[in-house]
Amino acid sequence: MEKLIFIFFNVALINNFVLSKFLGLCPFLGVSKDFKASISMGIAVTFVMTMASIVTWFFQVYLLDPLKLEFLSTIVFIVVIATFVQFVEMVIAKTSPALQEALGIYLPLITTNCAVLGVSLLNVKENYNLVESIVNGLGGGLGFTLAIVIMAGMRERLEYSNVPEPLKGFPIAFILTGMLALSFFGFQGFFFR
Amino acid sequence: MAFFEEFSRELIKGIGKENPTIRLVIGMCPPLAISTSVLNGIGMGLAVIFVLLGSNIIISLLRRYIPSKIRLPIFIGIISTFVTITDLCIEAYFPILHKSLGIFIPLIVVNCIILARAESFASKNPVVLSIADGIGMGIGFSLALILISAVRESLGQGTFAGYSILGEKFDPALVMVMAPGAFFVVGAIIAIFNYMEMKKRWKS
Amino acid sequence: MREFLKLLAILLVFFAGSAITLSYTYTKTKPIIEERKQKKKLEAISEVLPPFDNDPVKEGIVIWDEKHGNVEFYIGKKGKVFTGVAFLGETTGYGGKVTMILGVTPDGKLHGIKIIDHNETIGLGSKITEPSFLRQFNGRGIDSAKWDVKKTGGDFDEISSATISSRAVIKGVREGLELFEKNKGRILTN
Repeated sequence: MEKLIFIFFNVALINNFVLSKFLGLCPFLGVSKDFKASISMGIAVTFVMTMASIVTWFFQVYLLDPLKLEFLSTIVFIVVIATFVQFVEMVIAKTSPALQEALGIYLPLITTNCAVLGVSLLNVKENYNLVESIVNGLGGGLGFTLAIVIMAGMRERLEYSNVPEPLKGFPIAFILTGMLALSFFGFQGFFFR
Repeated sequence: MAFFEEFSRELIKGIGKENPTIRLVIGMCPPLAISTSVLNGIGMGLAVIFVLLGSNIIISLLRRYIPSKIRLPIFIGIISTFVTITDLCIEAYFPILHKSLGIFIPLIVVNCIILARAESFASKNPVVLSIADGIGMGIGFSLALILISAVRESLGQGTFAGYSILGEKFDPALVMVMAPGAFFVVGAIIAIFNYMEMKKRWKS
Repeated sequence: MREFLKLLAILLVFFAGSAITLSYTYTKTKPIIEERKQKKKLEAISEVLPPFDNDPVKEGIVIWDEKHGNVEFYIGKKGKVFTGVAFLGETTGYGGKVTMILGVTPDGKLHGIKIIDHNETIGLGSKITEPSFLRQFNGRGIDSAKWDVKKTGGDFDEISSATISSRAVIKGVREGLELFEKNKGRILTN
């Protein structure tokens, strides 16, 4: 239990996916202009990261490991994730129009989100079991959500401030992210008793 | 002659006006994550050039045989094949580089630059031009990476590719080699290039 | 349906091609990677153990511990006499997990320690890898030291501005020695 709590807070706060591991930056920069959209994106990423952790874990342990095909994990994982996202899209389209409206356009983007493939590869690298992988995926996704929502809040305020012309757009977004990353340093040392 | 011009145009655009990192700001994970030292930057740059060149060549060669309905899975398959080859070779021959690049080697698969070049260029153009495009984009990416890592390494550790350049008295700003420094440096570099672009526009 | 099968066939041809290419690359690079991993493991073991003339990995045993899970113990012997045992230890530092390899002599004293992997702050906590810090643990047994940094009444020097990282290593070493004491019987009779 202690280990699970550690994994969760470590991946969500201390070594946040976006702010310290630099994973999932494309959606982070692309969707953080709008507060509402950022929440939808966060939820979609959290869901896919958690599910991808589960699905890829089964593929790794019951297919790749027994057959000694570990070197195929990158290619298998990306195909599995892409198929899974496609599948989720179909299910959502059929069952819940409201959910489709909220998440619809973000799901296809997630296939090429490095946070999803990243969490699957990290689970293998760290030798996590099923429960640990799920916690890692969930924590990573929630950490991503936290970062993107804070970022969207800041960028909405930025609309009303006078940013120097060359800094407009990406540069100021990067610098803000840097400050956010700096403040997340405060979570380091969180776990030492 | 016309052909040569076309070739060099495709080659140069990736380095300059369509530089993926500084101008288009796509595929930003590696430039931020592994730019803590110049050697990392060079290693990552070479890996990306190899993958980009390989996937551009194969996709351009086979572009008539790839049905457009299933082109994305095939592109991803080809790209991840090259990425895995790169991963295995780096692990075998450059173990230290492999350790410091870590999961960012397999993650080249989901780097937007490579899929974007496959989709928007290699699948529509002949092989020779795709080679120029791949090399150009790869070099543009590498140069940006080397620039970012040179700034971070020199300010953060006072060294360049491992050699001390700023002398004993220099007190390194460690934050530069940590995560926030990456964001600051990348933001500042893009801003500087924006500024130079704006100045050019004012003049004309 | 016909078109679907055609697309599927094309997809399969592509993936078969990539699987063949990759297996070829894998069979070429695998031996090199494996050999280096073994060599590195043995190097780390010989850095923390007293001289030995056997293969510690081959003569190692795996013991399950409720706190640490499965731990592999690599046993060093010289002329059939047990000289020491090496094993991996884990602890939580400032920036996450710290992995180390510990070498312990049969009398339960630490012979050597090396940090294998960590995520501590560069330039501050990362100094836990330096021999000048790690040397102070050599020769210590579980009862022959106060396991804390000097400023809070312990026996060990800390790295300035990195108390948490220093304490993490101290804790890791202590837990490692405890693990050895607990399983001493099984390790020594092996």
